[in-house]
Amino acid sequence: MTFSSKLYAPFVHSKRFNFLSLLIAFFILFLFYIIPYSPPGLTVNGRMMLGILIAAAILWITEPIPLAATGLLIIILQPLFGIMPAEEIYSAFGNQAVFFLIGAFIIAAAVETHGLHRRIALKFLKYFENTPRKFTFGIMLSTALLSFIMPNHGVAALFLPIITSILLAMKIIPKESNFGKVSILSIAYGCSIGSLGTLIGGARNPLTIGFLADAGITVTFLDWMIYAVPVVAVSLPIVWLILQFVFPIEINDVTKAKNEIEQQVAIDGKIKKEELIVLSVLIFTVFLWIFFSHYTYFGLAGIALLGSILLFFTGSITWKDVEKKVPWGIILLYGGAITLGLGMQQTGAGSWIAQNLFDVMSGNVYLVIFSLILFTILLTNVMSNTGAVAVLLPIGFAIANEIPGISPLFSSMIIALSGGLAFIFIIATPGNAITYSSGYFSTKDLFKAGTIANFACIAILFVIAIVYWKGIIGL
Amino acid sequence: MFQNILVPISSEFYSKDVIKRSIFLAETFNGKVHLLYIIEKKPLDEMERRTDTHLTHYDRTETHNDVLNQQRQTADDLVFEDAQHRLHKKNIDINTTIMQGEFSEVVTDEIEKNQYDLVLMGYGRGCMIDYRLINEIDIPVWIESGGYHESILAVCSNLAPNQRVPELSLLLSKKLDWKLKMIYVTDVEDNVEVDEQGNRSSPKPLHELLFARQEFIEHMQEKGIGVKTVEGSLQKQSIKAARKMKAGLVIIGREQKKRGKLGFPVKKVKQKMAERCKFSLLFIN
Repeated sequence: MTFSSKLYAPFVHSKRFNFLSLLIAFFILFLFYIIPYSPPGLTVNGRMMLGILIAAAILWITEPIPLAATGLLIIILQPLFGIMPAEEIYSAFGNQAVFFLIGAFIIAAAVETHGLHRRIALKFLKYFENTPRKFTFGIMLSTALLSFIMPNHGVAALFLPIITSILLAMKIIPKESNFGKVSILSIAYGCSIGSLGTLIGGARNPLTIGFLADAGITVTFLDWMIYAVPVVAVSLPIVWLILQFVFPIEINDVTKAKNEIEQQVAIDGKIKKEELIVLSVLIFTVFLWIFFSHYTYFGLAGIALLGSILLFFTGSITWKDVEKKVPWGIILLYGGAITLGLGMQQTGAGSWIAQNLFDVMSGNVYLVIFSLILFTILLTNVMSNTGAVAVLLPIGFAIANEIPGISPLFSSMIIALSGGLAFIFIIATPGNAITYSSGYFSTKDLFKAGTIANFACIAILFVIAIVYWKGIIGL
Repeated sequence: MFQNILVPISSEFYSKDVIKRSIFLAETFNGKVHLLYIIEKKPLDEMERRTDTHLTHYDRTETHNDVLNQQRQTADDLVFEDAQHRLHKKNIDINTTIMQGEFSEVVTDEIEKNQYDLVLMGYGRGCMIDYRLINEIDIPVWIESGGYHESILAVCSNLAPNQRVPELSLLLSKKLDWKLKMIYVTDVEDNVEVDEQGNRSSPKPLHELLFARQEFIEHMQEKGIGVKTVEGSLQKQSIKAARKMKAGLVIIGREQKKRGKLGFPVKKVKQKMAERCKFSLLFIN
């Protein structure tokens, strides 16, 4: 059976497509505004909020406007329709997680400005240059570990030129060689899996702790790692094995890769003073995050901002570097996402959806957990990770209130971690789009490997959630 | 016949078989080969769009340039070098160009600027390439799949003018010394006749289509070519016949199929065939 290429690469844009998706989104808003009927249990404001949620989901899936612009649209729509007062909406932006994101981005900017991330990447890769299989595992592990300390999209953008220069030196033919496919897919999947591990990897992680903080639940940097690192540790080798199985590597010799890495290490030379300073600040910040990020000490944001100010003090970063490297769009996306959640909670729309879901699943806790994972992974594959998590977090929160045996922390962690597992489409995450542009794998390859990897991750997350989170640490 | 061969290779899909075939044809027809490497615009646009919120303009530009450099290096170090290597000790004129843009657009522009007799290319599945040029350009398009069978299947039908296909198939078969078979497909899904200008008639009853077919067969018999007749969908019957005779190359004319099963409209017949076939196709437009 043959599928159309369109299946593997949905939502490739044209002006007409953009116009149509905008039209549909606004038509839904209009429809929810004018219909005089609200289903039992749903208030008028809740119905309107549901309209905003669906419109936002359409815009985040089809992206006729930038993700951040959709975030801004959500912020203005709520006071416009009289759902929530403007003051309350804008104050949601004053969340500690926003400042954590800003601080973490500034630290990552310093790391990138001085090329420290490249040095770390090459250092890691040097340990895995013996065989082709080890080499691909090295790529995956290195990208995952680096995604612990900087945003995963930046890691993908860093690794792509390094790995493609190695593949070119090895005369690996794009799309024909399985070694080429596995190497580049290892970047994409390594970044995605690694981004689950700490609060820095993806904006959806601070978004989740922001939600939890609003509900009075504190999750520290170390807490997050305790919950999430086992998922990374299990998923990473399994997804790597899946890649080996789907695309059996056809080469045996990686001498040229070894030479290319050595050449690149030689170009970088010895570690410079500025790099050492940035490294020290980074280690100091991570140390504080791990041991002192509880609000009774410094708090996550305080430590992130302290680290970034130290970088300015030591002259390791200038404001020009910050302008070049800090993606402010994510902050706006975050703002939209957090206000969406707030509106869903306060109008009771989240509870209404949860109640209906609960009825459909006849109260089976395991079925609810499985459905949450499955639905989040499906959604995150067709829209922005942060968008998917923003849409589902309020529903997850409400589910926790409806179903005994599921806590808000438990449902939030399920949604946050599932939200990072976007393996199937190019549109699913910037890491997939960045690596696809190299030409080493096709949309069909991504679809094939990604579908199997996603099914495996659903099983892994389900087992870890039941056995480890619920059974051992009592989440 | 094929003196000036344009070989467009997209950064989205590269097949060594295309280079091999272009050298074979250039040798056979004493022709020139122009390798045109196209850095596909769509994946880069998609990358820019998908990262616009997550990366700064500075980082996006840097990543964009990294990808462009890598693609240029792929063209020089892999594609062109492979062609030069295969050309070793062969007296074939070859030139190379790297361009950036959308595949069909770049190829169409190139054909307008320079004189070519044939476009020879591969067909990538699961890639972001728009192959609309197959329907748009007037010169023959050869889609190479890397098969090794030395036989030609010429497909004529009520949906094509059937002017150039018999003539070109015969010539090609003689020049390449490949076995030739011809079929006439009476497409019962789309019961019209297509004239020499490519215009579709109004729907015709089956007996009229069969009469036209008989006329064609007799005309071919005068030229010494035997024609096998089949009825059914043009694309399905062509693929079936090609598989049965293990064809290395299937030649199809300027078909004008518009209706499929139950009268529903059909689009991109040629692209769909190229996507499904494991043999090479030559579309004579």
